[in-house]
Amino acid sequence: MRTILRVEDLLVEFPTPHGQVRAVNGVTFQLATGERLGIVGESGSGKSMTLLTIMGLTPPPGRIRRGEVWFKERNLLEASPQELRQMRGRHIAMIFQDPMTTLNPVFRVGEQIRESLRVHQYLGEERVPASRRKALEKQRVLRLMAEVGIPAPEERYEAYPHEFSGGMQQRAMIAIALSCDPEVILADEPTTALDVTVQAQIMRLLDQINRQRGTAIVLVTHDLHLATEFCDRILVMYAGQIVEQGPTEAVIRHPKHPYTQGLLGALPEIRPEKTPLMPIPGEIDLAHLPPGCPFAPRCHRAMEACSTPPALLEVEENHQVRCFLYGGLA
Amino acid sequence: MKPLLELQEVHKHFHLRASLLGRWLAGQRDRTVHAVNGVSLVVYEGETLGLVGESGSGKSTLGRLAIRLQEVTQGLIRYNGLELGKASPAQMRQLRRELQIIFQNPYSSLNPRKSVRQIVGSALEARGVRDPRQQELEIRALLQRAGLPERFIEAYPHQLSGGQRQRISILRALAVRPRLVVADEPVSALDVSVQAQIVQLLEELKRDFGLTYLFISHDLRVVYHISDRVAVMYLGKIVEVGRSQELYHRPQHPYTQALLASIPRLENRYLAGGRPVLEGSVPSPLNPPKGCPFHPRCPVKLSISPLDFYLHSPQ
Amino acid sequence: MTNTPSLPAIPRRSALLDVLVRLLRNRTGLVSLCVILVYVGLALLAPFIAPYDPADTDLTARLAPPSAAHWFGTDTIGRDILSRTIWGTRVSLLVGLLTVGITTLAGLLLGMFGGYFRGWFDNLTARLTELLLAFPYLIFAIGMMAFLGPGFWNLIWALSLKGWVEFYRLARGETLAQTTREYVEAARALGHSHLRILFGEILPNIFPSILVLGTLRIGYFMVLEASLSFLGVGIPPTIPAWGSMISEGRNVLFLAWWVSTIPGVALLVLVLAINLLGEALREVLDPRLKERS
Repeated sequence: MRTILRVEDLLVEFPTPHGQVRAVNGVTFQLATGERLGIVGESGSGKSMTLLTIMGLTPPPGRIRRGEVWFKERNLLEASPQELRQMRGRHIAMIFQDPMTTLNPVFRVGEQIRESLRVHQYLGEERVPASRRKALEKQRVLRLMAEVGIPAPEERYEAYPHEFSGGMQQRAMIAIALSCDPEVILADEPTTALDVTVQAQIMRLLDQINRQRGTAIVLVTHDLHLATEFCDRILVMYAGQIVEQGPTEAVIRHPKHPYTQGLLGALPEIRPEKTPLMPIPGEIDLAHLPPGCPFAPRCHRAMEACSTPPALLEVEENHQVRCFLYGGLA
Repeated sequence: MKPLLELQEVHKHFHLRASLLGRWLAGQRDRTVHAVNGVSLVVYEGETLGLVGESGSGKSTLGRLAIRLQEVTQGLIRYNGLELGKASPAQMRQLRRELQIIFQNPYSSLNPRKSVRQIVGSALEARGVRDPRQQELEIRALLQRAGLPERFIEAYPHQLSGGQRQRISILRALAVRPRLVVADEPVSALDVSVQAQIVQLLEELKRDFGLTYLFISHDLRVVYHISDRVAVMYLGKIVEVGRSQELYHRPQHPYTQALLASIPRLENRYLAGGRPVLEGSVPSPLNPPKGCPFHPRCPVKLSISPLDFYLHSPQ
Repeated sequence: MTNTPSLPAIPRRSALLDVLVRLLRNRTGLVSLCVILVYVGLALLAPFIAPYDPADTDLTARLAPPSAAHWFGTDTIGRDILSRTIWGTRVSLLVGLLTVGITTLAGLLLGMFGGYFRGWFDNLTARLTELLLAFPYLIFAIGMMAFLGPGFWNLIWALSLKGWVEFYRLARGETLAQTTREYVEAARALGHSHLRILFGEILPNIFPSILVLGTLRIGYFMVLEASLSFLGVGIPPTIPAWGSMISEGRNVLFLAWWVSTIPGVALLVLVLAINLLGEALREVLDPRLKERS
């Protein structure tokens, strides 16, 4: 498997009244072709900001302080705005949490899917006479709509977003993402706004896309269970840092970092005997992070060493943890 | 166990008036949303009854009807033997203290212009505690009980985190010493690690104060954890009620089965594509199907009269 | 179980004082407030500051240009422009403040009750406002003055009768938005009375925007009063007012520019200052900007 996307030491800062806050703090990871990677974290962990930065969409006043984002042989952070626009949608596509705010309410759904084809001239439009262009594009849009499970695409092509249910809107968003056969789909909490039965439908669709087209998918979610079901590999983020990463099996069955362990203990499970929850104490305070391990103030195993920043260390094959419990002490 | 709250064939309809312009230009008509469509349910003293359902199922409306924040369209609700709809204003004022509610959104459930002292103080006043010194003592004790530092008494909502606000919201409800608390998605807006803290707090408070909870949530996992019994709602109707372990591990209604099968689980590695998936989406509550509301999507639909749809114990 | 999170230090001063302090830290707010205070001082101290009696005529010095004796000259019947302009401040401020006071109170109460209780009363008021909005303000005020007859109080009523609509619409909309918030439901669940919810819970949340609108409307009503006085249906001619002064100077504008210009500038500066104060208040009261100052 080839690496298709590589993020190196990414650092994104936001100015706040309390000084610079590092929303993404030295994030490094790779994505292989056809891989399913899960990025799991709570609010403020920097998971969504990482995705947006990869897409070149860091919201102002955020600043990329350092790092590289390699797509194949190209560092996207050095690409021109034009080049980036070419890249977005064509090679890397993104799906957002709230389809209602991402789809434009005043345009027909079908036209919005076609727009993406048009922008990227995906069908080699320069060689097609204008008269045929629209028909060709519409044909492909109808095929896409059918593929993502929108029933009666001919009729739905003419519909407006508000005439779609939440699940159907998200399918339309996925159709837009798929329109130019991207190699990578970045999905930012794609099912968080949806009901659980609709979530299952959408996840099945993403599963099909990954299997049938071989599209690599990065799933950003706060739902450890969802990531477990879907992903080959999981990154756990806390306060802008990756605190643990590894194959799903290893991270879930043998979590190493106290935060990952804490998350698993805080989640109620549906098992015949109910077990008491073990909440992680406290709440994250991004404005006042300690100089060392950001999790230390809430960690029941914190020690003196934790006042210095720990490094990401390999504890098993492909399984890395950022914690002094597993070595790295000077 | 003694029934504390009984709902009998409760309906709540909302009338949507078409605007004059809409009528004239587009021929729109008034429509009726059947938010709650014939619900009978009992909440026993001291239990936690979980109420689950997807958006549009009417579960939040049912919660508000249960403590008479909204009036029923049809049917009756009995609290502690007394019919709520017939309570006099004086009786109702008394009852208000016993029936409390905790909301989902910790941002809009606290008045942004009021300090914690004023917010909790107004609840104490409702209980008749007017002396400022007495109030101060009680608020400090309550803050401590909720795991918050006493100096938060002067804080305003925007200075607190989501979890802290939710604790204040719980304190406000608790300050009047209620018996029945409707918790409407109390942890849905919170992060996982904070969620567990709040669930634990709710469990402790229930034990310490002998509360009864009607716990409304779309989070099936949290509901399983906290509830003694669970009711499943779909499109304004209860389709299944039972003890939580039994309902979750031996669901009878096809909708309950489909709902539970949709929950992602740690055990289900790579099930994303392989699980049975419920097709379609929830029909509009403007025109709910007759009989079992689930029958248009049901995989095992029976050909019986829609009038024969009622809750019964499975043989 | 909770590690004590940081809580910003809370200044323990009343909300009103807090707003004032932040207003004074805002440059626009400070300057406009100073200008307005100067006007208020002039109005209060008019009898002591004005060099002449505003009604005194000096027929030997008609249309006298600005000089050491008459700093801003005199008008067609030899009255001192400076003294009349200083006295005119009283009328303008009084009309602005009284009208805003009456319309705010009426609009706020009607709007809050309408937005909170809805029902037939709300429908009735809504129709009435639509009717009133159909009239241009000046036409409406002229008509009212013709109907009521001249007089200071009649002018106030003529302006107020339509002026409450803006406050009503704002108060109603804001109340409607607040009513759907859960803290209102929580107050109902505690058994608090509707009046207590309206005035204790909702009012503090809608008051800032009402305050901003009120400030801006003071200037608006002053201009309206001046327009009516200019047209001769406003303040009775016995009372020195800027509008009627401008009107009197209109015929001699090319002979004696000072007669119209001085009261015109006085009005312009005051209204500008009031509008700037309104803008500054909006900035200061916006909770999104609050944390930064």
